[in-house]
Amino acid sequence: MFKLKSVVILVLGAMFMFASCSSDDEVIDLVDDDTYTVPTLYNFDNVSYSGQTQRLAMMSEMSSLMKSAVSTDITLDVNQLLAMYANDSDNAGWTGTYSKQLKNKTFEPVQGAFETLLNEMAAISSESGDYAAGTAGIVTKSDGSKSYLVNEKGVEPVQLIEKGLMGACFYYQGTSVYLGSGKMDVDNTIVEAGEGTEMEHHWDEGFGYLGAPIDFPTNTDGLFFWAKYSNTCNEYTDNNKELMDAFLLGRAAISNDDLTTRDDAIVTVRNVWENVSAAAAIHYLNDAAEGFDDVAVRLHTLSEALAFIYSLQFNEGKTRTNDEINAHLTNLATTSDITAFDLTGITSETILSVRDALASDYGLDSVKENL
Amino acid sequence: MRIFSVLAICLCIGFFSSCSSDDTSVTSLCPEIEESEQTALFQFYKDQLIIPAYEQALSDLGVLNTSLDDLLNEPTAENLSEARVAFRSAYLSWEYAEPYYFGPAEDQLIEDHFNYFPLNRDSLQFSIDEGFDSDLSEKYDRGFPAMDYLFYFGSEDEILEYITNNDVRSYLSANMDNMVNRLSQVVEEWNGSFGSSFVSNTGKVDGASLSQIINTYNRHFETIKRNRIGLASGVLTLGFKNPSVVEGFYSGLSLDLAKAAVESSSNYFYGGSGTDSQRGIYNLLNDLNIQVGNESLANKMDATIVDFSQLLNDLNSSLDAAVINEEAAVSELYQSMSSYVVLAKTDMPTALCISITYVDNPSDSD
Repeated sequence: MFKLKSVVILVLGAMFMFASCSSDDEVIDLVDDDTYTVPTLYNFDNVSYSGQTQRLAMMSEMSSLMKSAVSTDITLDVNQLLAMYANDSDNAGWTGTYSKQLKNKTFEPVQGAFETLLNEMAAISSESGDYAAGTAGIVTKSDGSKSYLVNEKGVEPVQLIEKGLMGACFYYQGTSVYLGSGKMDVDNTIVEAGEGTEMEHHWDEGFGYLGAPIDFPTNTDGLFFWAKYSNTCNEYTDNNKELMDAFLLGRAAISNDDLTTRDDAIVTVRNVWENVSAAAAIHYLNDAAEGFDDVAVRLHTLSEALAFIYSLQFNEGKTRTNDEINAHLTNLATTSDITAFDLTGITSETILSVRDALASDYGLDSVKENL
Repeated sequence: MRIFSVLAICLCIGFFSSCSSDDTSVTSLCPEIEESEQTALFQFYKDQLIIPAYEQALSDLGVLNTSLDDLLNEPTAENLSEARVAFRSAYLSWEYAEPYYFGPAEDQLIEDHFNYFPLNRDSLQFSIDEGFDSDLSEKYDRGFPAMDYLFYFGSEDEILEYITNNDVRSYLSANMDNMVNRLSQVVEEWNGSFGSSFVSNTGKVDGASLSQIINTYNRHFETIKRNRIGLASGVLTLGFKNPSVVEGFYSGLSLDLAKAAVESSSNYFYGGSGTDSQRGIYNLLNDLNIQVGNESLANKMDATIVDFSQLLNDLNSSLDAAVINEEAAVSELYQSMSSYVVLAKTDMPTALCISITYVDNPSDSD
């Protein structure tokens, strides 16, 4: 008798559960029969990110030009550099043809800082003497294999510009803008040929900033900027696959209107891409510690490390605050102001201590010495 | 066996309660509001809030106009000081007139010519050089922000010397004339045919008076949240703070202006100051018994207004300093204001069946 009663109560209870939940809430689908497959390469329909590819190409041209200035017979024209940054095609002297801009996609509060750095780049490009603390000039590796142009504070501006713009432009757009609510809370029904829905298109543009081929990481040829640096540390982080899988998942989710999964993918993209920058910073800090006695190696690798740390700020999903990120910069270079970094007083103890702090901040303790 | 049945009962109770706890649906959708009640509401807003605010702002602007003339005729430290006092009064008065951006104010593009901030100094310099153009829009080079800069940008001597420049003098005069002309026009129309049509424009369609009130109330509140607090605090810019974009940056009036803006916004909601005022949206919502999740919406809004008003009053310095030195307090203030927007911009319009028609922040293009 007891058993029968309790069964009835249970059944009634279950009935009430289903009934009272449906009044003005959404119906809960208890059986999810909407499944979709996530492809293993970025071969979705209607993918276009030509604007992003243009910006990667522009950055490549700028970098090549700036790096060429280490030759004593090459001097840079500040007007050309600024024209390249803002894509004033009359004065940029491009090899390619571009309709987009790096400047207006750089996180606005720091556009001025990059123009200051470009000014500095041009200013020191006429230096042909050796660097000494307080005097901008050239440093050469002890094996004679490479030279770099550094400013009077021992910082290599081209690294700050290249890796800093990777952060303030590409990483910023890829993690914060295109995956942010302004670009994601948009139409996902009307398909434009060659571009997909608005939401799909924005996701694709985010992916475009990664600089990876559609079959990354099976294919690691033709990697630009972030994809390249992800690959550099991939042996110890597995970030290549994690990042690519997140982009694939998010795009598949969007195409199947599964916004919950899209949102999960957004979090993953932001976290893994952040990890790529942190790992790259640690990698260069390790190089700096190891090659400390070689001035060229020390200053070159530290400049890279600084820029990768600096970049960590531009992710809306960043796991550390600007204050924490800036503390690492200040510890290494006396200030968090990218236009005023000073490496003349750096010690190998400091390098390793910042390396350790970064590894702890970003969950890279177990591999920090390998990166 | 006994345990089994007790368990079964517990499970049922569990099922019942889990469905109702998260009910935040708005009840009393689309209530009918009697014509006479609407016209009384609009009459009240027109006569007790809107026209007095505009007339006070115009009067104080007139005082500023006079002090400005004195200063330009005789650039002395004393006249600068008087102009600054008049500027502060006029700016604060303006805060109480700013919310009503529809009808005559919109026709005159009043906020563009009065209070687009932060000032663009390059635009200002260009306009000083080229001459003030009273027809230009969206130039961030005029109104109160221009005076905020020109009366406070440097030392007294520097300022007095700069304003002896003929270009600068012409600019300041023309800027003031432009403001007086436009505001006079607004006051005239509110006292005239627009005022009458506002009172009788009942209904809920876009452009009806109730829609104008609900929309401009929200729009103005969002300018407080975003333009006066949010942008400077860094919350909208990845934690990068922008102290210099606050209202009244050069004069240091940012906190006073923000408090006035909040009070002005509250007056709009309550129909005056405090919950025991005569006839405002607050009373309307209660009269119509608008509820959210079994709680009076008006009371929820009131509680939040009290909360963020207190948080704002607790700040100890001008907003440009506060975003650096009182970061946590500013963040809490912003969060409170954000939670208010849900009530005011989603729940309230939904309950009244009024559409929100303004676009607050058009996204940038590719």
